[in-house]
Amino acid sequence: MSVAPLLSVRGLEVRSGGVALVEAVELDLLKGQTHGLVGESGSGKSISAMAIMRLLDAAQFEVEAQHISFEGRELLRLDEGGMRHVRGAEISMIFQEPMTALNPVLPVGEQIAETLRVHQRLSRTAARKRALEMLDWVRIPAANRRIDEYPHQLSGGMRQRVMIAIAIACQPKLLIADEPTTALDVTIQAQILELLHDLQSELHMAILLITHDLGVVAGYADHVSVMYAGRIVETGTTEQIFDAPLHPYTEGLLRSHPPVDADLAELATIPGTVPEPHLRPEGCRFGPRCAHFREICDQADPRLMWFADHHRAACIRPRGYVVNDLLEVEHG
Amino acid sequence: MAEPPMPYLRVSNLTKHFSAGRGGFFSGKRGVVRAVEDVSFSVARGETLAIVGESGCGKTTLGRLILRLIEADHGRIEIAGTDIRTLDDTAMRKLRRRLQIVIQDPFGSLNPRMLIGQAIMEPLDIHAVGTNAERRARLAELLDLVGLPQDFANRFPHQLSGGQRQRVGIARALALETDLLVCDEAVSALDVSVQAQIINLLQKLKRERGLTYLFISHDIAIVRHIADRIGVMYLGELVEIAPRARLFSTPAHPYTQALLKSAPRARVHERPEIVLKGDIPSPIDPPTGCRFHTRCPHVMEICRSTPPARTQLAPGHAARCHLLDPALAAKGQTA
Repeated sequence: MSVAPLLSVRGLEVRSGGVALVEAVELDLLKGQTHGLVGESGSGKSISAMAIMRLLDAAQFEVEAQHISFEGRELLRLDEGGMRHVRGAEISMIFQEPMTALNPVLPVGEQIAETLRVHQRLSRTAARKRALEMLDWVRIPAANRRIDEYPHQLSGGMRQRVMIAIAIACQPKLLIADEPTTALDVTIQAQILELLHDLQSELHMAILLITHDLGVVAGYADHVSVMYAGRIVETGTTEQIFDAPLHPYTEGLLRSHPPVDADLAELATIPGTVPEPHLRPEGCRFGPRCAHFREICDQADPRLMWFADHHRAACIRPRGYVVNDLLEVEHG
Repeated sequence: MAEPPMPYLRVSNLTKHFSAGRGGFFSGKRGVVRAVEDVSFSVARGETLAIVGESGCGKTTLGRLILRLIEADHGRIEIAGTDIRTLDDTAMRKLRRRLQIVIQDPFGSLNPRMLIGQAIMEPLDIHAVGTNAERRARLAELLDLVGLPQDFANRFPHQLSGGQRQRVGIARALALETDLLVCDEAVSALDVSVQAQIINLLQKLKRERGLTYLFISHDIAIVRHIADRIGVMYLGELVEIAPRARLFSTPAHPYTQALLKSAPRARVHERPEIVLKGDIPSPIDPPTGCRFHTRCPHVMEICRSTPPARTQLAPGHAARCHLLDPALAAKGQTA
C-alpha cells in the first residue's frame, strides 16, 4: 500500500472462555475514507471494533494482535491514560442505540460539554457555548432549547445526532460507527447517513462503518471488508466487492438482499445458518453452506489471498482450487 | 375503488384511539394516540396485501385490530362477508382457527420450558383438534412444511437460531385451518441470508396452500418482493394503496415518493435522496389537516387545516393528498 494507513490491524484475535470469537482480522483504514465492515450477527464485527478501542472487559475477553497501530502508534502498548486520550480525542465511537450510551439524568448539552471539558480543558461557559454550536452542526433544530433537554425528550434520530455531536466534539481522526442507523426509520436513516457523510468531508475524518446493511455500505463506503464467522473473508474497494465479488459468501449475501428498484422471481438464499463460535467447522468455515464446496475445502481454512490491487478473498475457488494456496500466508 | 370480486377480508373505516399521558410531570393533560384512523381496504383470497410504514404509523395496531387481539373503536372488519366485530366469544374462537399471526421475535411467544413439538401442537390442544396419533402426524407434516428436521420437535426454543424459531412460529400459525396470516415484521429481526429463506418459505406456503397474507413491514424492498398490493401508512392513516407495480412506477402520495427514494439501493456510490426534513411527529395529537403536512415538500395552505379526501387515481390505486384532488386542481389552488 502506497499511503500509510491511519489505522492498521493485523492478526487480531479475541477469545472468550477458550473459544475464538474473532481470528486473524486485518484492516487498513485510510485517512478521510469510509471503510465498511459488513457481516451478519455473530460474525465478530462489533467485537473487533471493541477490541481495537480496547473496550473489552479483560476478565472476559483475551485480545491478541500482531499490531493495532494508529498513526504509527501501537494502541496495544498504550497505558490506560494514553488510551483514554485516544478514545474521544482521536478515535470515537457511536452505537446503534444512543439511549444506552447517553446518561438519562443529564441534559444533552451537559453531556457534550463534559467531553469538551475533559478532552479540551474548556471552561464551563466555553464548553456550553461550544456544545450549542455542536448541536447546530449536527442539524438539531432549535438547538438553544434542545441543549437543556434530557435524552428521553428527544426522538431516536435526534438522540443519534446528539451522540454524533459528542463523538465529533474533539474532531477525531477516526469515527467508528457501529450500526448507527439500524434502529432508525428509513427516512431518518437517510438524514443521519448524509450528516455523517458531510461531517466526514468537513473534518477529513475516517469512518469505520459497521453494518449488516449492504445498501448502506454500497452508498457510503470507499472500501469494504466482509466478515463471516469471526474472520474477514473478502476485502476490496466498494466496486470490487459489489460488482465483482470473489467469495461465495459475499456473492450469496448480495443476492439474498431484495433490491428496492427491481423485481425478482425468487430470492437467492444461503442454506443453513451462521455457526456459533464453538461449532465452527475445521476447514473453510463457510464450506458447509457453500454452493461451490469441494472436498479439498475441508483441508484448511483459507487465508486472505490477493486477486487484484486492494482485492483479497479467503477462497481457493478463484484460483482453481489449488491446494498449495490453502496454507499460503500472504502479507499486505 | 375496483373491489376484488369477493374480498376475503374487508376493512371499512377502522379507527382506534388510545389515551396517553402527555407532557411533563405536572401537566396532567391527557393526549390521544390516534393509532389507526378511518382505514379501509380489502384483500382477496390468496392475495398478499403489504402494509408499509415507519414507527408510529399504526401498522402493528392495524394487524392486531383485524385479529381482534385489541378491539376497534369504530369500523367494520369482514371475513368472507361476516362482520367479525359482531361475533360472540364462541363464534370468534371458532373463527380464530382461520386467522393467525407471525410476529417479529417468536422467542417472546415461545414458552422457554416447552419443547418445540409441544409448542407447535399447542393450538391443536387448545382447539381440541384430532386424536393423539393424528396430532403427531400433523406435527411431522408441519415440521416438514416449514423445513425443520423432525428431531427439532424434542428441542427447546433456546437451542434454535432466530431463523429456526421463526420457522416454528410459522408452523404454529399453520397448525389449524389457517386462511389469513398476519405477518407483523416477521422477517425484520433476521439476518439477510436467513431472511431470504423465510421469505421464500412464505411464498411457497402461499402458493401451495392458497393463504392470504397481510404482510406488515417497514422494509419497502422486502414488500416489493412479496406483495401483490401495497398500502402505505403514515401516522395512523392509509395514505396510499396500489397494486405493487403501479406503486413503484407511479407513486402518487409525496410520502410514498419519499419512502421509495430514502431506501438504500445496494449499488455502488448511489446514495439515497433526502426528501424529508425533520422527524416523524408523535402519533399523540398528530398534526391537523393532512398529517403529513409538517414534512411534506409540497405543502399548501389547505393542507394545514383540512384533511385530504381519498382520490381514486386508477383501478385499485387511491391516495389521500390535496395535490391529487381534481376539484382543487380545477379551482386553481397551488402552493
